[in-house]
Amino acid sequence: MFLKIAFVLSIGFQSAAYAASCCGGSSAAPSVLVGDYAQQMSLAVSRSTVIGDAPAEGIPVFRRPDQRTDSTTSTLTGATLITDRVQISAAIPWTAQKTASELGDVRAGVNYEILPEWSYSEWIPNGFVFVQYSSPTGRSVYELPSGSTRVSTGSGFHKATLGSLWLKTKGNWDFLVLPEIHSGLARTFQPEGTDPLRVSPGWGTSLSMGTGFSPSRSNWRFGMRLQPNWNFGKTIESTSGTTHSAAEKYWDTALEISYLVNAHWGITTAYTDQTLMGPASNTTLSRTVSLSLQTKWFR
Amino acid sequence: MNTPRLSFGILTLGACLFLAGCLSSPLLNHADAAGSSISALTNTDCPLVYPKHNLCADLTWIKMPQDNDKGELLVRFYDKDHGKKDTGPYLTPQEAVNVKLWMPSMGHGSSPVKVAQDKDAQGQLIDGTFRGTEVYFVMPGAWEIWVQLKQDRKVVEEAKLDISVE
Repeated sequence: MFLKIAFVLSIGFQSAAYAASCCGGSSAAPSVLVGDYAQQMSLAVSRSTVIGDAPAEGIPVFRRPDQRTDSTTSTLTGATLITDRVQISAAIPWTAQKTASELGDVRAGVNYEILPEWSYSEWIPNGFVFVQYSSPTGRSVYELPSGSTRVSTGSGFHKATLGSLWLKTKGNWDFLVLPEIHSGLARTFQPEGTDPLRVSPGWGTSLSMGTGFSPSRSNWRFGMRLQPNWNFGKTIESTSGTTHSAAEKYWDTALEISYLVNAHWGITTAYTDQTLMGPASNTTLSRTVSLSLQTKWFR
Repeated sequence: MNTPRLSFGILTLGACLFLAGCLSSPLLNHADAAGSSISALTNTDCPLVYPKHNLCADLTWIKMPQDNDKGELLVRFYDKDHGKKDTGPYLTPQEAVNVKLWMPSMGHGSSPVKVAQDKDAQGQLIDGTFRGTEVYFVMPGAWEIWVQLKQDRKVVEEAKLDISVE
């Protein structure tokens, strides 16, 4: 059973990360090695469509079909053990849109297994803590060239994420909880011909809660996950003075199906929807379909 | 630990969260975008005011931005006391003119607008008239159009219009 949840972890959080990349600090959990594995690598492809926009005040507005924007993100992630309980991980996303293809925000992190499962316990979970750094290698909304109609591929900031992951399996069921907080460094943007703009992104947090069911003697796992996200508003200093944007709130609801090909290979598909649960404010609302292929190596 | 009681507690908490989320669900509580539109610019006699320069400015759309199609706008400056929006006479500020698009709730702008003094059919500069091209709003919502007067890259004076992009 633990094998199946180990394969789903790498994709479940990727799909949510790119759904609102223009706005605020969407975060992605790192690739975490679970179980008796020493290394893992996965390739995930996500297709995201912006369905609507939730204003800072008032109800969301869903776009007409011809107004909706699509993007496809391919992400290569990997993790490896450094010691018995310390891991390092990395993720390289690449986003393709109608007019261009670009690198997203590259991430790297360190995971520590704070609560290993050395012996069976009915209630004590397997726990990890992690720190992740996100580099502004993507193009943010503050860096669009004149006349550009592109969707942004990155946040634009150096960001740090601190979080933990808690896993438990009981019979055919598994449960996971992943709380995290993140923040970014202030940065000055000045695309050609524009005034300098100093933006402080502020803090944000999310709480991912998931459960899965794996029928006995089956290589399948059916899961669902709920993740509320909240980001403080940004502080913007420009030639017009200092302003503050509104806070951003949205919920990711995800359904996942995983299939364990064998002990080394797994496939996961996920559907993530930001329109099902609320409240949502000051953000775009997306729907994302993802497919991931993952391979692992035992210790 | 009492397993049934704990399971019931977890299920109850989960159901409450689910119900709370559903009540505010964007899918169940939303409006659909009508035609692509941008709210009309103000109809006052002096839509953009520059007290230091005693100037007004008017902003009109030559071509509204639509979906992936960029727009163009026209800015005309005139004396606050003696000029008129529709007839002028139009005055060219000494400073450079810049147009900035800004979305205050999200704290970001859009791709930069190109601004140049407009020319007539003979290629002569038209007094007090500036054309903004490559106008594009990266998303719908409440936006501000700032028209700035800049000298040595510093903003000397500026004024804004609030618009709604759908």
